[in-house]
Amino acid sequence: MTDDLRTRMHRVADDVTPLPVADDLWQRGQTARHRGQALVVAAVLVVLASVGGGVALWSAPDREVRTASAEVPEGGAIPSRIEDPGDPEVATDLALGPASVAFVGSGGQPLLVTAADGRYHALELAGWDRGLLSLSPDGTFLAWTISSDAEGRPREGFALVDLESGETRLVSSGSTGSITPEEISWSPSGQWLTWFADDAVSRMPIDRVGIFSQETITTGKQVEWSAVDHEGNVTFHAQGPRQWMRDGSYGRMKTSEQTTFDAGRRGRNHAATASPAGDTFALASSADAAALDFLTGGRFAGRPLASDLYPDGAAVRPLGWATDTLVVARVDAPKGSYVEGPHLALLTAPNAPESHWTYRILVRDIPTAALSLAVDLVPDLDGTSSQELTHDFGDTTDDPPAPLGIELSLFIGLAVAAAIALLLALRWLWRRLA
Amino acid sequence: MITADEAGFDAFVAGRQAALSRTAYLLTGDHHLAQDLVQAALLQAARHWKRIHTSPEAYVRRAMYHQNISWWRRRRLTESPLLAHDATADAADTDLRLSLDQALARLTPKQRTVLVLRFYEDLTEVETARALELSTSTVKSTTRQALARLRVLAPELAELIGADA
Repeated sequence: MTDDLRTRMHRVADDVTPLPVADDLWQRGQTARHRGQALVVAAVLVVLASVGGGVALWSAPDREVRTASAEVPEGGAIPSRIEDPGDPEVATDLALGPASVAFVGSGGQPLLVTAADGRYHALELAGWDRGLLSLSPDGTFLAWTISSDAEGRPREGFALVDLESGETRLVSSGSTGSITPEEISWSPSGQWLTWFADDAVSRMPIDRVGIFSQETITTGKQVEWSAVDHEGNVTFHAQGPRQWMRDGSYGRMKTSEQTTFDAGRRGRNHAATASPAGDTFALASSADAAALDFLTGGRFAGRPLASDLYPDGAAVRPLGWATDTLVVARVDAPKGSYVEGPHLALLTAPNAPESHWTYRILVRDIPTAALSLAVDLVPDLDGTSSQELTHDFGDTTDDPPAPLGIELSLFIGLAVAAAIALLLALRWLWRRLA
Repeated sequence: MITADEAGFDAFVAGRQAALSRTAYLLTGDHHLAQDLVQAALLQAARHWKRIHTSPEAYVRRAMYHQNISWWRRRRLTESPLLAHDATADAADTDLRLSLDQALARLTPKQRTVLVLRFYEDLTEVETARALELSTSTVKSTTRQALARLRVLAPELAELIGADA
């Protein structure tokens, strides 16, 4: 039976002559082996990279880690971009820590950028009248004008919050009745505040114990600006520059020349800040001037902006002093300027030799409403043009991170699909080449 | 410079090339396919020589069995048969060798491989099952179906196969 089949099959097989095989089988086999090993290594690397990337994406404690440029300087930094964050979550606790920027968002809500992490916080400020926001030079205090008290009763004046403790105090603006300040100015040390309204000028020391003893004088003349130095001496302008010393003495400032030429071009309610040395005052100017005005050494001096940068002029408003000779200012430039629109600049005051003058753009395209800056966060210049004066905190809004501009969940889905496709391709190659 | 591994591989090829060729021919029924089958199996052996050099023949034969079935599956997807699968072979053909060749060619590679292992390689059902990674019952049923089909395809082989097969 099947033994015959066995015999017949052997006969068929015995008729087969040995089939020739290629001489390079060994080399081809070794080549295929090495190629296979390389593919295994590549596949393992792809899997490790995919898993590692996914883990890193999810385990990153803070998404700034993925986008920020470098380590944040100690004490915080001015963000390199100041943008309207949309509608961030409202901070109920104002003990947010030192801030770098305060401004009013497009929705009318007051916003704060914390100095350490660049995050935006919408604030619930008691009685805020949508007027002034003023950050102390070190970013630890925020003042704002009010139209009511915490209980909603009508009241004028301003309020002050210690951003370290979150403690808030309402301050009436004058001894003869509460009047909302037209401008608030900090001393460079942050230890004094001055403000004015109509013909009254006030000052107040700031201390963390919370004992605010304010003083006010009435001049009988319209006050145009006021500034206070680190000792509490107030310099203000009411039909000419006047000084109100810490000891209570008050009088017209001795000037070396005509000092009323500028009054017309600045008009009323303009900002002024005293230099750390207390001998120079930076004053706001209108767009026609294309200069930042100063009162220094008993005379007014302009610091003109470069005409090639601002051929059509620009309005300049001082925000504070970074050093004895460097002023941080907000510049509003019309179209056609080298830098158009509102931006922050660092420029040298005329109390420094003209050969040392510098002009640096800090932040472009800033919000237009009530922006205030913690000027102490501007680093000292190291003399190089490449020095970073601000910090890129990355994406600090509350929106979900969007790698490559794609929504996070979609991005992860695409990444997983790509990894699977890659593995399938490698498997196909493997089978093809094996 | 020739390494010891390469020398061992060359010696194996030289010594077992004829036997492998015979098995490959029985598995495929075609000289060209048989040559490809032997080469493919030897190439795999060369790749994994360090692992199999102690008993390369078992590895090469198993590679041939599986490769043959795998190729048939691929060809089946791309080629259309010209004849009815179970058509009787030419009755006028009186040469038994030719009839056996033709009849084997009409079996499926799985049936044919099982027959080759059982009646040419003289493996038991258990050994065949292990070599093809099948169950013993599958080997039994496949053998029975293959022999029955041979009887249909080549009635003149009935005496060889036996009625009880």
